Amino acid sequence: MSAPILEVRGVTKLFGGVAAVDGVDMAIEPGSITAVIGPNGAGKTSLFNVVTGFEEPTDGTIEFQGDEVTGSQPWQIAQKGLVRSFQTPTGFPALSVWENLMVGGSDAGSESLWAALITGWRGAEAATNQRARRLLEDLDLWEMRDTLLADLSPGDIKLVDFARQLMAEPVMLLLDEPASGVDPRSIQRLSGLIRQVRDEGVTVLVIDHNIGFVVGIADRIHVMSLGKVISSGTPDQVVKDPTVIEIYLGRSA
Amino acid sequence: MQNIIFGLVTGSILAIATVGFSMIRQTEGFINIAHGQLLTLGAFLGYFFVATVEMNVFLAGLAAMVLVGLIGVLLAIVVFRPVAKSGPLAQLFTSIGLAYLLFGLIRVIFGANVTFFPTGFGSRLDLGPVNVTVGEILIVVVAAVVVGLLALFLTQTRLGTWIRATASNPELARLRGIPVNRVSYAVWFVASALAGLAGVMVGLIGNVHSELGWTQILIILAAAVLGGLGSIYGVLAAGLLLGLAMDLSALIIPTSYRTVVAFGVLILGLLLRPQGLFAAKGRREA
Amino acid sequence: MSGMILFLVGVVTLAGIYAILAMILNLEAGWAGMWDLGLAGLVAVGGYVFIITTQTTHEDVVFAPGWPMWAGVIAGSLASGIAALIIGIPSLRVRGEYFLITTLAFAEVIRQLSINLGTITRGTVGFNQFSRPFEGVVSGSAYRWFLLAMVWVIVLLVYLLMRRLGHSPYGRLLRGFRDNDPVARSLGKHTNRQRIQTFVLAGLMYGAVAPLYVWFIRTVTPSLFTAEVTFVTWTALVIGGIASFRGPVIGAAILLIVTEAAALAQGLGEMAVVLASVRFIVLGLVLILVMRFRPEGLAKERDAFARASRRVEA
Repeated sequence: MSAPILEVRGVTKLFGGVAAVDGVDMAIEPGSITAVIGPNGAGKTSLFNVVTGFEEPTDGTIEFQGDEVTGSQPWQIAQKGLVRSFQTPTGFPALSVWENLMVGGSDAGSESLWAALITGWRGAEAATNQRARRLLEDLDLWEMRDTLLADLSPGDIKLVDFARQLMAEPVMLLLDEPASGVDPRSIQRLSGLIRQVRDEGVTVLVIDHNIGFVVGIADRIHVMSLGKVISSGTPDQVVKDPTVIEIYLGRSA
Repeated sequence: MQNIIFGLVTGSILAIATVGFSMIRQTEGFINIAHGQLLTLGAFLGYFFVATVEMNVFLAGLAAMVLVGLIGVLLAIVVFRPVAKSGPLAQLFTSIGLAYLLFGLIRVIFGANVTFFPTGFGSRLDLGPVNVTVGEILIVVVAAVVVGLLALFLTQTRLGTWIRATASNPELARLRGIPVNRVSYAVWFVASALAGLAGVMVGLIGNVHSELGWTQILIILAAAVLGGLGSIYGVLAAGLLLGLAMDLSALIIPTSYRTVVAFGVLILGLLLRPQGLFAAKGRREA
Repeated sequence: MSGMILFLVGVVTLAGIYAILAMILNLEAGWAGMWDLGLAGLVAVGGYVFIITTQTTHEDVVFAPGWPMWAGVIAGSLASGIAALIIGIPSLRVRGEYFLITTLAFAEVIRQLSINLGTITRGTVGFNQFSRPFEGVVSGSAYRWFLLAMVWVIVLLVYLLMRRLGHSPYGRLLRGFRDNDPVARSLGKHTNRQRIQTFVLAGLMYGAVAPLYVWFIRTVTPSLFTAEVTFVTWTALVIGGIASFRGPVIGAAILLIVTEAAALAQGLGEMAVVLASVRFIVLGLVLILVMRFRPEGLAKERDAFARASRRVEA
């Protein structure tokens, strides 16, 4: 067992008096696909927010690739290679598909005011464009590259979101409800993409309601309820765990 | 000590004007720059009723209030309602356009000169350590009464409860079957009438001129933001606080710095508590 | 007749000045999403520092070094940039609409200071005797044409600069996080730093072009820098088409010509007040109508940036 790429220790997040996340411990193996599931209000998105720096934890620590990132700014954490998606996909609506990907793939140097005014950006842009083109062609989005994101269907927006995250060359991806609102055939495709990305060395952490989707791709599943992790294991183990079944009884995902 | 009285008067007027402004922000969702012009309109109408029609001051004030209230509703229907679908920024710019339009119209109708309310409220009384005019006492008393009535209206009547519900969550209110249109008209009437009343009060203690709207809207904005755009009580407190700050500061620095003091307090307040002093749950920024 | 022509020259010159202001506003508000209601204050700082450092006729001020004009322009620009930095850092901690109000607050503070710090600024009297560039060479009414040409050359230069900035990765990132800051940050972008840089750049530019305004009006008083300057600039931008390239210029041209046309019959004595008011009525109506029927303005953002991918492929 190699060192975990992401280590969450005793993380708690209080909102008012309510613990959205309550003493969570989690260790993610590099190169794995891990899922976090649980009913609404279980604290999954709050956990994501804390891990990625969008919220500060009330207690606990987070380590990514051995570096402590508790309380760091989102952009700092992202620059270390931890890239997340958001539940409602809106991306950059006024930018085209191609521009969305270019933003994802550009580095701070080419996007700086200095570059814009003085030094120029042609070289770096050409290189980023190569990657963007390849990715868009792989995903059959090249024809739509000049369409504004706001003009796309929600399903396509999600796809572009995913592509944009990949452009950032992440070491680890956090996907927040990637399958929600996606039709069954596209879910197949999505699962394929996630596996492909994992095969290229990216660790994936997924939150989703869709048990079928999650069971299909995850190596390991953590189940959350009311801020705590109540069960962890392989998909087979978790699906048979009586505490998990009880949580989902009577609730439609 | 005298300045505390001035501060209370200024604060009361500011509170009245800002409560209306804040109500619009809460239920309609945008910042209405034209609110300052409704205040000016109230001042001029009040003056007109007293000086030309020779009404009793109280009746004139009431008439001005009601008239400005109705004008507010009319403007809401004709000018703001059609733009609502384009979002709060379009509404903000529409309100700026309306502010200019009203400003120009007021100047054309009432002239660009400065006038005074010809009333007998300048007689001074001595109450212990302070010296006040009847007008000043009147303003504070009326302001308190109006705020009290407003509070009763908002808490004890059905329409008032609907207004509060819509202010905290418009989508939910609509789903629950609250007649959102009627609520909207009511809010516009009340908010505009309050602006008109504030204008009459300003006229009573100071002078009436067409530039009033622009200077007032600045301090109203300060009070609204300081109070935390979502809370009526916060806004009242902020209004009084700024009024006191502005007039008490006159003890140490030249009076021409009044608005600077108001903004200084605002900036300080925001640095300490970016959501406003008494921010209620209200709307969440995306 | 020649009076009419000179009047038109004035209108077109002022339109050019507002076109520049609107282009700068377009950068910080249209692309970077910072709703600056205090630009009049930044222009004021630039204008005042320029006149204070360069004028030599008025002796009753504390500080009158009598620098050459180019030094004054640089000083004014730097001063506005620093003012923008001071205003920007706290203002950016508050979100959305609050930024609007804090910038407005700062502008009002600056205006009050310019009235009250009389030993430096000559208060409400201001400065009204100062020389303008090349006045020895170009004389009399020909100077107005010279000023017109100078202003519009600068309009062109600023336009070209904005095109470069707009089409750069920097400009693209601005338009990205303007609409979705969390996603930008989740990709590793330090968005607040980019915002401050943009705001300071805007400040530097407002300060650099303030002298144009000063040379046009020929006095420097606090009443020159009221919120009206801010609102007219915003109106010009909104009408012309926010976040586009041509929008600010088109909007300024249309707005100034339409509102100043009302002042044409200026000599009619008692109608003067009415006509001055008509300007405001027209300004207000234009803004209301544009917001009602074409809220994106005349030139649209999506047209300005269409087919961005082809620019790299070239």
